[in-house]
Amino acid sequence: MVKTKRLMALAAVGALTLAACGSDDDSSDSSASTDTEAPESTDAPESTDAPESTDAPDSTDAADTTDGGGSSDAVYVVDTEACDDPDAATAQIDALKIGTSLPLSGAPAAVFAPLAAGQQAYVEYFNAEFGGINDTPVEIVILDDEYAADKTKVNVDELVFDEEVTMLAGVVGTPNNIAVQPDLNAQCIPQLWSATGDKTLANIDEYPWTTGLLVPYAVEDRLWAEHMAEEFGEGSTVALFYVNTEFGLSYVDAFTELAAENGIDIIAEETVDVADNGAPSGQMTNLVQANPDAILAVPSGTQCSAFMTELGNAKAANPDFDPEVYMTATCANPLFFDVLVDNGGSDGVYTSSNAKFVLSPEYADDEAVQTFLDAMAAYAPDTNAGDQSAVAGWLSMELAIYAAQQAAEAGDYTRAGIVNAARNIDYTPSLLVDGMRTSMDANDAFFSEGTQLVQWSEDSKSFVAAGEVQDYNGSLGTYTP
Amino acid sequence: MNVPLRFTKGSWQNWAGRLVLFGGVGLFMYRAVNEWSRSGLGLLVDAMIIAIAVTGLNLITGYTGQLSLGHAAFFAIGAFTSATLVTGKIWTPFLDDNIWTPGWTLLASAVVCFLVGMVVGIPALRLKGIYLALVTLVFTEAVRAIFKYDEFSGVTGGATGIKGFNYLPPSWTGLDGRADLVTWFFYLTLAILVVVSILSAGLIRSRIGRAMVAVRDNETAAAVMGVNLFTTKTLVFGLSGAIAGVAGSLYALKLTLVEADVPLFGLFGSVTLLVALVVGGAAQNWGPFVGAMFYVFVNDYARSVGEDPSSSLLLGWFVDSGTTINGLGGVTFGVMLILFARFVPFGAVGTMRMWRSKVVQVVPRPPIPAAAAPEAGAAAPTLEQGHNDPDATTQPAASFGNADSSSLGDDEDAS
Amino acid sequence: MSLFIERMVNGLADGSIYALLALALVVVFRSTGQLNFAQGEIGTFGAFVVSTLTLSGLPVWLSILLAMGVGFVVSAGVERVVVRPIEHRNPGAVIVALIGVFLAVNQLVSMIWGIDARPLPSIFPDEADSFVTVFGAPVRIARLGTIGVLIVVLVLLWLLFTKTKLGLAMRAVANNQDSSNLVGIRVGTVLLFGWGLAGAIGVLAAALLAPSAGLSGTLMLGPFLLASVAAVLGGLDSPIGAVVGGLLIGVTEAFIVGYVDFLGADMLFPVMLVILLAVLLLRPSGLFGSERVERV
Repeated sequence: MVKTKRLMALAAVGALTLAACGSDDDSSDSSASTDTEAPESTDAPESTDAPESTDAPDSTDAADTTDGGGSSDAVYVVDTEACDDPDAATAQIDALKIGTSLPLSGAPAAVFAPLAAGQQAYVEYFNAEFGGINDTPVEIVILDDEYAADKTKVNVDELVFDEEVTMLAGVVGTPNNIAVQPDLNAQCIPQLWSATGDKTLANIDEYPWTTGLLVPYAVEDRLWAEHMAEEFGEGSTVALFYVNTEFGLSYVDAFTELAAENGIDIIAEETVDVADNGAPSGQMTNLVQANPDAILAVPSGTQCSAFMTELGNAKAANPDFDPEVYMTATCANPLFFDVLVDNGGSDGVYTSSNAKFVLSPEYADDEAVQTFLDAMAAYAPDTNAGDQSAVAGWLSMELAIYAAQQAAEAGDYTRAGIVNAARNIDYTPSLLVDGMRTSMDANDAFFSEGTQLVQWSEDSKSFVAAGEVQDYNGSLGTYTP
Repeated sequence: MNVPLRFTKGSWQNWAGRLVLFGGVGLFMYRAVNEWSRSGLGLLVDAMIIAIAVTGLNLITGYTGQLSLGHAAFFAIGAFTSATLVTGKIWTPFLDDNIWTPGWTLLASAVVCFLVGMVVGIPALRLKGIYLALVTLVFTEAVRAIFKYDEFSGVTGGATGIKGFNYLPPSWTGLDGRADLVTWFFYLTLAILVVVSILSAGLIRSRIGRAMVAVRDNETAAAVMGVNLFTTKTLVFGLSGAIAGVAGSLYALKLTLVEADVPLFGLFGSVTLLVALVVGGAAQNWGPFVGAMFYVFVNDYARSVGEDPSSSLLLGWFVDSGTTINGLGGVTFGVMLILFARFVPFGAVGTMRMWRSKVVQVVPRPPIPAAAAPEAGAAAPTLEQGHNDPDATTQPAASFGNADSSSLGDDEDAS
Repeated sequence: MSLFIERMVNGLADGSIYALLALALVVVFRSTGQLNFAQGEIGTFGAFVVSTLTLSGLPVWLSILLAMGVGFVVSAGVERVVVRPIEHRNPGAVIVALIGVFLAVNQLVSMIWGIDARPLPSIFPDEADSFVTVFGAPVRIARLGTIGVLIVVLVLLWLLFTKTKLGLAMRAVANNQDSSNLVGIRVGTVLLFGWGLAGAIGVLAAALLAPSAGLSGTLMLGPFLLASVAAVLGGLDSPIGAVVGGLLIGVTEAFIVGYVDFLGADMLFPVMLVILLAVLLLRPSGLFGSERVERV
């Protein structure tokens, strides 16, 4: 008996030592960073081999055709030497298979699930209209991660190793994208058009294979800060109401910097837990007490409507309390503003949008909007097409396939080619509002930096423009931690 | 001929039975690591990690009868400990850059969770049944809230969590970096699961194990008979917490990220562990493993049914391909849990044992006869038939012992 | 002062929801000794039924009553079909079955009604300006109404338990099932009724919460957890305890958000842990719970 105990103890220590001997390498920092070269000239040397390409090395995108727009014309070329498997990054693609992971169930699904519908609709539309790329239909694989970053990681593993997708596109969620960023970059798999506006996604030096899609939260903050400075002048006060996650903090961090620059005083901060679905009455009481000129609200999902309901109640009960309210664009969903908030709390709330509101009568004759609506009706009839999430999903796939097409045309239909095409893109999808240019290059790692301030109107039950379209293209440059 | 076959412990038949069992599982593992897809293997690793945590839970809930819904907290503490140490967030005197080797963080987690577990065991001295369960549940959510707390974000990462640390397979294994990460985790987790199971089984057979079971069956009687309740409860809570903490560390290292909102770190995790325990069979040596496998794989199966109902056996008749029914996966899994609890109420292992004991019984070896010792068989049946008096338990809602397992005579571990 | 009143009322209103749910849990626990994990989800289910009924034109109060009936039936069904057979064999397995019910009902809601959130009208006037002023504090009528409903339910329950034969039978069964059986009480029917009643109360709680929180599948997840803590705090076999516990937790929540700046809403659980430990270590069966006698 004693002997067995001793053996067991030895075995335990042995097992732990075995484990301990693991990985002296690389225990802390994330994967090898790939170096980037950003040649100043407009020639585009190919840093990757393009086997079997018959064309002479071309620049991967029309970075040199249009000028100006605030960004330099430096062409970006990705380095494939440091990849886990450089051959895989430069292998010719036969059939494009795109993978994505987003919440299809659980609480956030109410907000994000329509994204999947938009993605699916675009791919099917594209295959039906154009037959695919090089006459091969594009495939899409959509997995559910319930907004949990650990599930996203598992899904991405499955997509990469089992489904063997060419690239990831339109993955939803700030923590989710950040969680899978290091692995995908080490494996040199494109993680394009991630449905988040977090600025760390534009880390072109460390993670060149990743790009974002949504208007960067810093840009939204800037829009609001400048609007506030205009409305209230120096010394205006603002209170923050945000969900206590990376997503909320992303807004708050950026806004804190901008507030200082614009002479805005942050006088109160209220947080709400991501899992809390009740009415934020306690937080609202505090906000009423602080009585700021404006409130910056970053709730998550259905918290958007709960917040606005409380806001309406608070305004009615406290006549002195009448702040301007700026709300994150992820809440800019007519469903929340109209149906769910019925007490006037949503009236006059500002938010921002860079895409056309597809159900708005002013776009009734717009071709792009029509195409979108028809495709949604044909391929995703159960989803409310007016849901702006669906538009975001549509755009993520449109841009992904566009990048792939550019790569194919340039004779570099490889993963590296796709990333180069994306990183040098100069294309503004027609579902985005007119008056902005969306592009990227070696010095501009943010895609969609233009947006417009819009305001909800109870009278017309829709969002109306509240300012000019601001095109901050190139303003954010790239992100360096 | 209804009399079940009897084999003595240690006889060749006993060993043959064990060989078949272990051999079967070994073969399964061998095939898994060589043939399964990466995501399937990943699921298996997850199941084994949960099995390790449930082994810990089994000690305190299955054998000692203290219903704990707090083991997700130990899981989380273990995970965060590993993450913090591996990224160098805590000052360590003997390391230059404060960065720990991942393997040693497993040990650190065990120690930390042991201490925390002992502290958690103190309320267990006063609280019973559902009261204890709820307190441990609140503890789980409280730990999670503390990990999210802004002021501590230097160490815990706050709402953002800790991300981007790596645990690549060591070079002596000959495995190739990232691609073989899952394979490395498979072996590591399997090794730790085996060690933990052996330790647990050994503990049950020892004096402490008997004390644990005595506490479960009747605390007052146990105390009267000389069992030190304080030591037993705190020690076992500590051990079970330590084991769950090691599981949490493995999970963190495999995931390369921790954040407070991970479902397994909160209420959902505690419930998962408990369900896995009961479904596998509380107070059984194989219970945690079977339960964890059931939970992970049946859940995955239910999810795939949910995503594609037309391909399932039952629903394929009614549903065309391409339609998805919201929530079907969850309903399927819920119903399966209900059915399982109804028809296999003592857990898979417990119920199998009951059935098996109708056919085969393993009896303790007869004592070496002194002068005029009675025949071996005569004395044996009363011992190993089990005390089996379900009404004698005084904690109706928290009774996890099943008919056979609590008996002191029935202590072979191989089935 | 007015701020204090405002926070107090909000806390009591939230607390009333927890108290109602905790009452349901206590009713179930007294009769069967189990914690009904699925209590909240049955409530959510009922709230969705209310939504469907109101959308088809029925007045709110009628929809709620009908939905309470549905909750009664579902809950009683769970007792008869799921709990009773399993309890005979192994009481420890009941919790797993109830977790299964929890999961199944939760997902069933999204199966039937989809994943979108939807509005739910309130019984009480719930316009933006439906409030009264109490000592200078604006207090919403809907919140006062919630507290009022709690009081009404308490009174009705008290009447049921003390003045009716059925209530007497329920108390007898809660006290000693075997003896009640011997005396001729139909224990099975009483249990059914107890669970059904709990289900109905749960639906009522959900219907009161949904108008301000928004109706979605996760409506009762948080409140259920808090209600369980409330029930334990007050004593699992004490209805008074459930109410006191629920109100206490609601008020604590409001006060932490309101007065304790450095903690914030997310730190509710650590605070509750401290309170819970403080109470239970002094009175291990909860504030008003009865001591268990253990036979050796």
